[in-house]
Amino acid sequence: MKVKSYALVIVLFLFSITAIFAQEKTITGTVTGAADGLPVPGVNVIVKGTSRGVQTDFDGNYTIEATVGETLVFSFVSMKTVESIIGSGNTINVAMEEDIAALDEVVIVAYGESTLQTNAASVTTLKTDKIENRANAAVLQGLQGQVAGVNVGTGSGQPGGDSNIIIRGVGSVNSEVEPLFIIDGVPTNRDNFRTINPNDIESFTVLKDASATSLYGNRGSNGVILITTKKGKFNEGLKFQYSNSYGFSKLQPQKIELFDSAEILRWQRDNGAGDGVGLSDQQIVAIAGQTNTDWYDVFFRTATTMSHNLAITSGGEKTRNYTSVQYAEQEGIVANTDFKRMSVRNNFNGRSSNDKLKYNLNLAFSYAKTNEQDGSGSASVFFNPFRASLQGLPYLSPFDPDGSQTIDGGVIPGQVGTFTGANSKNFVYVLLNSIALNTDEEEDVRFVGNFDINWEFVDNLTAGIALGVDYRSERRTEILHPGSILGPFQSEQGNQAAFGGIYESTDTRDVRSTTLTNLSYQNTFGNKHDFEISAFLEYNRDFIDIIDFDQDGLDERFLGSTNAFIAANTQELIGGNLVNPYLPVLNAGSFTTGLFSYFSRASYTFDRKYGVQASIRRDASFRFSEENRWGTFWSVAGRWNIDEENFMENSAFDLLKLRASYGTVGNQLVGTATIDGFVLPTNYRGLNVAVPQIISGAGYNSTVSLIPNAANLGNPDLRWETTKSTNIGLDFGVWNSRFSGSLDVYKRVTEDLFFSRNISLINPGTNIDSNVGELQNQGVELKLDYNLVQTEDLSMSVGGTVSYNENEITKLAPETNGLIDSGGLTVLAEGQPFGAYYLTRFAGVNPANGEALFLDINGNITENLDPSDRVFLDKSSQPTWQGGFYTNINYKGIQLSTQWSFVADVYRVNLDYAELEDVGVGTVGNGQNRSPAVLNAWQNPGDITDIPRVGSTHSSFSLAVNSDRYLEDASFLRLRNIELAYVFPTDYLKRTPFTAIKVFAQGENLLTFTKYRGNDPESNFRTIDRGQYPTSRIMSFGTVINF
Amino acid sequence: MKMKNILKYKNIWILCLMVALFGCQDAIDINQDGFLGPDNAYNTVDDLQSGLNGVYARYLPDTGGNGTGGEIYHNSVFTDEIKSGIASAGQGSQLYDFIIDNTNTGGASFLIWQDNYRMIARANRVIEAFNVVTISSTDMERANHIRGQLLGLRALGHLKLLEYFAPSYDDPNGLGVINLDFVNNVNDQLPRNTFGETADLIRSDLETAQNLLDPSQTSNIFINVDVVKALRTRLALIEGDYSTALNLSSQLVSDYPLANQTQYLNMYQDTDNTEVIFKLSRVSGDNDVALLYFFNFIGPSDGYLEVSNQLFNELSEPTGDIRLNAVVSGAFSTINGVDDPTNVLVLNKYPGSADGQATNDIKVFRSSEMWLIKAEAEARMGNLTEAANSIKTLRDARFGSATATPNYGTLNQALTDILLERKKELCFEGHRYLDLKRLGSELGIGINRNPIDCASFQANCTLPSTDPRFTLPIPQAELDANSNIQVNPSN
Repeated sequence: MKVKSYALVIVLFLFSITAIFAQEKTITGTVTGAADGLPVPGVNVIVKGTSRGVQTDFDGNYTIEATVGETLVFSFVSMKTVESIIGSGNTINVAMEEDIAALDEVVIVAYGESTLQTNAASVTTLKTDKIENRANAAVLQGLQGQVAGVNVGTGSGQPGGDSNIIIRGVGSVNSEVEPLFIIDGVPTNRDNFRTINPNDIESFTVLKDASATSLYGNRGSNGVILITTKKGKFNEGLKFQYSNSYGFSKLQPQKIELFDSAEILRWQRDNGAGDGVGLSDQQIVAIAGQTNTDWYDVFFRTATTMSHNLAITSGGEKTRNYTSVQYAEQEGIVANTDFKRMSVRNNFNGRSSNDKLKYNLNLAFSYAKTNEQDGSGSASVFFNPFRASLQGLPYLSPFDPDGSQTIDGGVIPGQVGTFTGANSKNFVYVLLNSIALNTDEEEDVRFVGNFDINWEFVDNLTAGIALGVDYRSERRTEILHPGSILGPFQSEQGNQAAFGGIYESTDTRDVRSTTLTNLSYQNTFGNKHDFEISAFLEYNRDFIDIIDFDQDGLDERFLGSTNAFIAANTQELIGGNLVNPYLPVLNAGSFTTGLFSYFSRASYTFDRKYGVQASIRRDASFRFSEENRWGTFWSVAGRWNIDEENFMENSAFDLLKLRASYGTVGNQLVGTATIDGFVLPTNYRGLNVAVPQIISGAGYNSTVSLIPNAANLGNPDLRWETTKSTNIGLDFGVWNSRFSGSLDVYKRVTEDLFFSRNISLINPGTNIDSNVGELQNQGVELKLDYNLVQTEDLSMSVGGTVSYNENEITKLAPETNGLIDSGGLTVLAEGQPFGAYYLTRFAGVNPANGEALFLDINGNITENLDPSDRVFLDKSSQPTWQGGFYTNINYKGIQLSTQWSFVADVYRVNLDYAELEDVGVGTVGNGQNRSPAVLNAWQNPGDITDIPRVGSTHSSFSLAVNSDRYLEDASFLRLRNIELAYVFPTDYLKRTPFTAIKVFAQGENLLTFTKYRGNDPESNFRTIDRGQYPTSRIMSFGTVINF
Repeated sequence: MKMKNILKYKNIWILCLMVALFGCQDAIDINQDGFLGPDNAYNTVDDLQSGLNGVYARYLPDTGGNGTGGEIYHNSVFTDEIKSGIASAGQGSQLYDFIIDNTNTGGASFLIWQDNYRMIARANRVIEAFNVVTISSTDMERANHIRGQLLGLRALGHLKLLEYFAPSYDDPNGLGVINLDFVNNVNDQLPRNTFGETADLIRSDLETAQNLLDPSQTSNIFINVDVVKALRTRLALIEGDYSTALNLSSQLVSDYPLANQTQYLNMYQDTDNTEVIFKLSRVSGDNDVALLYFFNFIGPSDGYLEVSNQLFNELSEPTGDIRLNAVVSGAFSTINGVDDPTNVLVLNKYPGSADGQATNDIKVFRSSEMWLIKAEAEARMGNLTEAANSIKTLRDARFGSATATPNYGTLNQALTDILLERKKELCFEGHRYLDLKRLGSELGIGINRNPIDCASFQANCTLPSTDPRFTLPIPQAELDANSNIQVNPSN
């Protein structure tokens, strides 16, 4: 080291000599941020071509010696570098602009950091300023369309609901398909994002190729999403930021046309069934004049949202701090559904005086409460309000005789005949009743904390340790009110017992812990050779325990207290026998997982131009037998920064980087996460897959027995699924990065796919889990950002992402003959994508008799709807195209931004619509409303129509689930977010305590373009829509105040 | 930084590293609480008994309901025991029309194959566990008795499989079934053994069982020495070892008297055990055998399957046969005339018991069957008179008075009469299909239904005795998963 120091002294000495001969003077000035006008501390101010430099102080001020004609260069991370030639003046103030794609910006990668310049992997970082202050409590929904290759499917409008996230196509059939989520180094439960305050998140980093994810070994095959929370800044005064937002949400415009009272009654009359039969036109008009209910308006409401957020940052020379508190509320558009969250966070960073030792402590605590409506998607007409809102008959009144909205429509609890039966229409009242009286509540308490310390104990050699814990407890309480219409039916004795109702409570505690130790060596040789090697040791343990009880039989007078539970030893005389109708059910279980790993990463860079990196990881997964326990995963990647080549000098390119990678990753989360009847989070999948299980069963002659578990015979040969992934990418930036982007081409092949395989019946069960099968995803991703205009008053930028993914199942177990038909709408088949629909083709309506027609397997017309005529339709439930784009305009502080997202080439069966077109035999009087489309039903020989004869053979349900009649294109383009904001000029605020004020109005999901005829084209890639909770439109207003 | 500090810090790092390293093993060797595998499930003789309870629980000749079913259901529906009932929604119409679908997981081909192999697989796991359980000398007798029962059940399973799936009982080198006397690897695809090999395994299991079983344990709902004897009798019969069959059946009939008429009816109510050698206990929560024939329980309008007119006629003539009362419910039936299509012939063999209105014990071996085997063995060994006397003994008990001694001029006559007597005595207890397979093929007697009965299903009335459908096909699920299995001949 000594030699280097001497060299520096000599260089400095030489420079100082030259300076003597020039006309030197002292320049002072202040550096501020162009956006907010606030001083920027820590900016490097360098005299161009020299090594003379200083940093701006706490107030953005600097002082430097320089000569006239020299150029000062102001540079700061994530800001555009500014150059200023020294003239006659002695003061140079600079306003620095944010750099949209700063090359040296830190890119968070697996177990470390990189930069856009040097990173060779396929990694996308999304700064959350793009999704900040949104009224939607579920932060992940905002990601859709913003990161190429990341598909965010939101299947429910439930406030705080989860989204399904698929990166680069479905990579498994029977195992985990969603990415690993890591918050500040702590592996976390992705299905519980509602407890995370979105405003605390600094960035999402999506790791896509094997070079990026291989370091996560047996957890990395579906990609990894790293979440970094906000930090304070060193050398910065105490700052407050308070923001709030208020808003309301509404259902998407109802697209399905429905009959009104007169129309449905007339249709019933004309077709000889239902309440319309025998009514005269006058009677119908009279009924319709009295009651014409739009059940949509009854079931759905305009709901409110609200949030308050306070963030406090401060920083000294060696410590910095970020503290935040938040309260957020979001009502659902269905009555009695809502979400509330309270969260606090503190992130603290410190470093030693010589910066060799650094430590971080992040602590976050939150409490969330959700009232749900979990009947969505249910086939049961009595538990799904979303179907009822379409199917409720308009001539039923939503009011009680006294004019208030009814909660029972006169239906008496427990009287079975009044609402069951094939043609009962009173289900709407049962649902109103359930919504009004029943409880389905979840409470989450979440604590996420992590601590890490790193020490460069010898020059270039750093050791560190990181500890993290994610603790979550959830209590779900479901009460089926004993006084509700369905209440009396809930005991084991049907409605015979004296007390009805169910109280179920489930308590879950889920703790995940991680420990990481590392040792890194980094050095630069000869100014051109950068070398880094790190070794890591990681230890993960997760624990979950669940306790659950169900009590049938509640005394509603005491609901809420223990007196409500009817004693278990209560006996009643039912059906001539003395029975115990109120026996409670108790369940409890605890489960644990672990992973022990060691891994290493090395990288070498030559002269900024070339870089190679490699990684290797060994994972020991307890899930597999001792012989198959250790998995090795590795990757190599290289890059060529073409822009650094001499021949590129003076080109418009700031960045032109070609990168390529290849590597392997594993998926140890095989098989089911439902164990002993408990539905566990997905990291508990496949706990006992290698060992045959012996369980307790009902024994002969009222005994208890030990028997092999037919569902878990154990396969000692079982292994993780392996994904081999190849990626070639190009990153570029031109014109000072005003136009930048990335292009990636990839192929992922997943081998040893986990399938249940038929075995000889001589075993205690018929199936074992086995590694058979193979699938692949290949695709292209493009991301572009263009800063159209960048002046002091006006800036405009546009950009977007688009990705194309082709999924194909390439191999199934030999005994399947290349096709696995589990009786659904889709099958798994070699040569077909995951989610390929396999249905009989609908071919219109027979003009001769009004029966539905189909194409048989040979393409001939037939009236038979036969499963053997099913064919592949080249349509899948998984989209091949998806992406989004944005526009931002900022004119003198007035900001208008839009963000759009789209998916295309995705199909779904629209059962909601189908059931409104039901003309099947015997369905006219089934107590359900219809769409006016049924008026087009076939009537006379020769009629050409697509609606079969009223009373024809096939119900529309049968057509929907057996033929492609209602398989619809669910592609959509949606205005995900639009924001209009005004940032007050700093001049206005000079005499106020505030440093910045922004007011904004936002709209979410305001516009949707789609051919899909259901409530909501967006979904979690399900195959059929049957009364789902649709995503809502949210409009909100708020302010952000800095002081 | 001072050297002292560095050393101090270094110790901390080393400590951290060691904690991480030594802590690692518990992330690799993880067992879930309460998870039992073959290594830790069986520790005591009680655990072995618990395992045995699970083996018994898997013997399910009465499995099925509402138009599906295994052994008892198949024997009834495929043959001439039933007709369509008053509550029929078509239950059993395919099988009654002689369609045996080996892809149907609710049919006999699948159920008999799977259930018996599952019972055997369970037995083998408990037998294997004897290697890991330490048995004290005081426990040895009990452990031996458990092991004897396990071997007895394994023999019972193999015998059932052999009876239904072996195409012929006459050729020891013909197809038997897979001999499963070990814990197989889950991925094994085993071929069938020969008939002789399977019979040898059954015999050797029964011989070992005989020696292990405690003769003082005589409960007739568990495998005991007499049950093993009955199993050996049945095996000897199908193998054609008539002297053994005669010898063993003679011992059993002397130990188990025939029920009188009252006892006989009580036996089906599960309140009398006079002639029961072995029955399967069925308690509340078990499969309800009556639901093979009824929607809910025995009643005038609840049966979707009823007793055939043919069987009713056979039991009615001559009069006085208590078996008519045992088979056809006098209280719930409507008889409008001989072979009247409107006759409602409600089955009475499963009238319910104290354990439930559709629950009855399943009789596996009764003294009367031993009399029938004895008679057949006597006839086949050339002693037609003794055969006739054996049949008379049985009939005397059933009629409650002395009956005429049958007159057998030829072996054929004797066997034909024994086949009919077996039908009357053992109907609805899972014998008819196997009897036609074994005796019918020899005598040229196939299925020949009363036209009124087959009209109730609009089904075929006759099936020649040579039809290959008297042997069950190997289930498709086995064929799919086992490339080495041999199929049975089909037409």
